[in-house]
Amino acid sequence: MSPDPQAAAAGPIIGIDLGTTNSLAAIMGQDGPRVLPDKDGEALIPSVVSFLDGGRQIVGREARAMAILNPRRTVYSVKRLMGRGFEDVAAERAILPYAIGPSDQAKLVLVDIDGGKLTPQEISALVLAKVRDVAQAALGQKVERAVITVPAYFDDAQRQATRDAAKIAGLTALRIVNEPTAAALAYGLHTRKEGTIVVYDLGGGTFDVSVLKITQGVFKVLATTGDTHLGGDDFDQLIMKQILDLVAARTGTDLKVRPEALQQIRLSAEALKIRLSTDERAVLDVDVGAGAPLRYELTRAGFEALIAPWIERTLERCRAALADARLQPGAVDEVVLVGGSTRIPAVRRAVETLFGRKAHAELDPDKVVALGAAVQADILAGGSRDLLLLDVIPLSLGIETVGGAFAKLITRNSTVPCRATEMFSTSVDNQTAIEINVFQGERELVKDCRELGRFKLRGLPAMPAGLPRAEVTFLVDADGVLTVSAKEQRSGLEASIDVVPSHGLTREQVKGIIRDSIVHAQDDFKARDLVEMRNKAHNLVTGTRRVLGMKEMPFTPAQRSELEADIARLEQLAQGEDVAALKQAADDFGHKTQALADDVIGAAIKAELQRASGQLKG
Amino acid sequence: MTAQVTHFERLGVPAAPDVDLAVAERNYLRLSRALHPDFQAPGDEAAAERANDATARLNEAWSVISDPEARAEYLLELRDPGILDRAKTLSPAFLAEAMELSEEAETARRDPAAARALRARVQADADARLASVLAPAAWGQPDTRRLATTLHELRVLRRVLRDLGSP
Repeated sequence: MSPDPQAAAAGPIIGIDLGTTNSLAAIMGQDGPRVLPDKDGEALIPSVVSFLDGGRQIVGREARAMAILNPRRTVYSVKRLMGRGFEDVAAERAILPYAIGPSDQAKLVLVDIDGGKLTPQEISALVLAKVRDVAQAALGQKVERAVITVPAYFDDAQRQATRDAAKIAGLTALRIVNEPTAAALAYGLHTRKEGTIVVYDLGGGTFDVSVLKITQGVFKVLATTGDTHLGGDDFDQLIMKQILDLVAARTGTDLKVRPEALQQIRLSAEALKIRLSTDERAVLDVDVGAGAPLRYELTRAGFEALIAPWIERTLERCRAALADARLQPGAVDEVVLVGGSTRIPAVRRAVETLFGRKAHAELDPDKVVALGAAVQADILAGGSRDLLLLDVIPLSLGIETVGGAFAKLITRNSTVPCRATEMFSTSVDNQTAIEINVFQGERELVKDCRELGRFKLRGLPAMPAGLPRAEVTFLVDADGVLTVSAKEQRSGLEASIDVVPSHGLTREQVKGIIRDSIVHAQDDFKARDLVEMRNKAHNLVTGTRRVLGMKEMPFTPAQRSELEADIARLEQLAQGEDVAALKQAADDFGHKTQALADDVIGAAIKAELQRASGQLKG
Repeated sequence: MTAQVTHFERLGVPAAPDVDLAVAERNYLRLSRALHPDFQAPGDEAAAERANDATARLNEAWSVISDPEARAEYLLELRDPGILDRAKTLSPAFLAEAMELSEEAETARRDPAAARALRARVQADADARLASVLAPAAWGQPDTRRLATTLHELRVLRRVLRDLGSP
């Protein structure tokens, strides 16, 4: 974000895995990619932001600890909301404890923290800023550029939202890379001449499986599918339920109503699960207050029986992905395991049985995506030219035509960057603007596809209907993000295009957010604004009071009482937390008293002159 | 439309129905490495834009050239612009045959063995038509109308195959 291109060109490029549950950074070193840990040696940063009293916010591990204690103001899994509309996230709304609302203009999702509305992009930006800070501390260097990973199925709006989050965090996202591709890069599978690779990614809350094909150092995603609500958290819940049932059965105590106890048991359940990856049995003593603690025991076999239906669901998705890619399980050359839940021996076994081969698990499955992003970052930094990453567009892109039909311009799985041109004309004489609605999806009607945005083509020459010929170019860049440009063929004029993204932010909105960025200032915008506004209100009130007290001021009683009422209202608002209302009232009051202030200065000078002349006379 | 570089020229192969795909792919990958935005200096937005555009054209060329049917259609349009639009009318005999195939496909929906048999038959038919279109002999003094008709028929057969689902 530096205005100086020289400064921007310097500094390292890091790889960032911006995950649903955890995020982390990595960089290419002498001996290959390595993760960038914080001062405690931890590389994994929980993708959690908690908003505290006094407008402070914390990100990462400390924030995750607040999830149960401060549930309404602790935001996690915000990746699920990125680039989505309010109606898209009904399933998430039922689960997430923080408030989510629709925006008024574009169909955006907004996270509501005590009445303050934040976009998912802004919250992701806070996570990215934290990752960046950790990376800077680890490297001892300023970091301004990054390669950021996204799930392969992310559509244009979700990719754009990720890029905007980076921008808000003051980072330039040089490339958006698909997570499975990054995982394969981390294993150096790009050095293969030919091959088919399956990436099985079972994380905390989501499951993804992708089939990749590699030809002479070129990667291509053949198929990708998954389950956005399946992961290690489900396994924790299963263990948690057993513990709660045990406690309820033995003591009649319902721990579900005690948040602190629930949080403790959730952490214990997770610890049990992790222990069972190496141990055959694990024991937990639950302190139930009175008497001896309750003993809960779980064997590995018991745990595996518990999660078996969940594992089977992932295998079903694997078979579906293979069918999409028109492949048999035996045709797969390499299997890569990603995500913390692939540490579970039963998961690993099931995957290896399905594909009939040993899976890659040499690298830490929580870090492999970030490591791969660092490999791509190194390529962009000019460090390596051996590999060329050719990602594909996950969904077909097209426009609305007559009767709400969807006309595909770029088909799914086309290699990016890709482009399509389409001629448009007018239907009415002297029409100078055309509206183009762009959608992404595979269905026949636009109502079944996802609206990306409305493009308004302006500045066409006034001509009889059908005569203007506007050539519109749709370009999907290497990140899978769409740009649209247009040229009128008869006049040769560049027609201007206004873009209204359906589920994203306009360029102006992103700029606006950056301008009053909560991230740049490194302190909370709300607290800062509130302090500023309170000061402003205070100054206005004292200033006006002083004016009202001046005998020389020729106020009518009506003016006086109006100003008194305004002051009272301003004082009341200054005691509250509503920054927007306070700002509005202060601005209004400021305008009103501006004229007054001029008079006061005039009066004061007059009084001064009178006093001076009086002294001269005396 | 100004005179443009053809997809064949872009990939450095002769404009023919039977291109050497290995050569075309090698050229495609070599050019990708030279032009791809990944290999431009970071931060130079104009260069990135040019690289995106150039690579997009290259990708488009490869997607057409590497697909035999798309390649044949493209070549035909180069030889006789607009012919695919003008030769849209299919023979009543073929249309009757297509109708019959669609009905068979509908009934084969519940019978995997029948679906497999039908699929093999349609596939063989499509392969034969494609082979006739790709035969260099057909392009010496090309009967562009006949080639266009065959390509349209191929599209119909592909639709039947798609409706039959994957094997």
